[in-house]
Amino acid sequence: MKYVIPCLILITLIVAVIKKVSVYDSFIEGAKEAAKLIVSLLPFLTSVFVLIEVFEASGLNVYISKYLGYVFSFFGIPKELSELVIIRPLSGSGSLGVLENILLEYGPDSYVGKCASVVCGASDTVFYIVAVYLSASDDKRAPLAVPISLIASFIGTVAACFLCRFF
Amino acid sequence: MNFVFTLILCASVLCLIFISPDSVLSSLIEGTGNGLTFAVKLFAVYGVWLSVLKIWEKLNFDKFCARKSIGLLKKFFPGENDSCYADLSVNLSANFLGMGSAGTPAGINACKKMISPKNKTMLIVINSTSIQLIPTTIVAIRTAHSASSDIILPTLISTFLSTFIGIVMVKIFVKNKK
Repeated sequence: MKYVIPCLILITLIVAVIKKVSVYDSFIEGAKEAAKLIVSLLPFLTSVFVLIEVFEASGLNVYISKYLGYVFSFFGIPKELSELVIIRPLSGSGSLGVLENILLEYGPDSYVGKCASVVCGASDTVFYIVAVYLSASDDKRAPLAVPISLIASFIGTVAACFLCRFF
Repeated sequence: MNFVFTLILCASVLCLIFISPDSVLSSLIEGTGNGLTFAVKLFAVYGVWLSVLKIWEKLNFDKFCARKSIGLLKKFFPGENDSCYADLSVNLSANFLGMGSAGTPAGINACKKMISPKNKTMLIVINSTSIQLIPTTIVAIRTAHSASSDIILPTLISTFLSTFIGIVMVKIFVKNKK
């Protein structure tokens, strides 16, 4: 797997040389576009990051995950995972941090450890994606995008915890 | 987005006023700073992938991908133009191969070119339920913790399930208004 991306890049470069496409110009154009994109992204990124920061600093995440733990266990999600399930749609790096802690505490081959890995691998940062994908559009309407993504991810999480009993 | 943002922000600030009022402003500023740091990291990733995308565009590789998958794309995202389909095919295949952040710039471009709000919802739902063949980051973390069990199959099943349910829900609940 580790050769896929390097080879993809190498092949792209070789084909570009054969077809006489200027690699240097493409790089400059790409970087220029990236700069523009990041500038338009910046406000949306900061909004999501401010949210994560105050959410964690207030201790609200611990509090909420404690109570939602009861709701989650009803769906078969172990309560050790509730913090992860809550932080997952908000922050990619945050949820990887929680995953690290769970793997350290319970071990990667335990039921909780496996569940946590599958939940992390099978879902994504919903709020971040919504904010980022719409950032460049003039028409920011994407009806029901947040609730549908969250509900579908939650069903995936329930399925993940169920499946991990058998793997 | 406005509702969720305001709700979490109000609740958090309210809590913080009781626990440690000093950290209200500092955590807001910290968060904004983190956003900027993250944006710089993203610039590095997007700079590289947008350059690669540019080359593909000049080689017409993206249009080739779009032509191969146009039938499928038209089913999920009806009524968009060709350059939007080209970006979509790059975005979805990058996701599928687990190079999530590589596909994001193409996804943003596709979203920008889209006319129908329903299609935007579809794109966001498919992306945020993360269809991918190999969860590269998670596998790397587990290997670092010397895991002996394999989680690829359950991950695949649950990610396909969540994406499938997401697509069905978009088809059922989102009305196509122009």
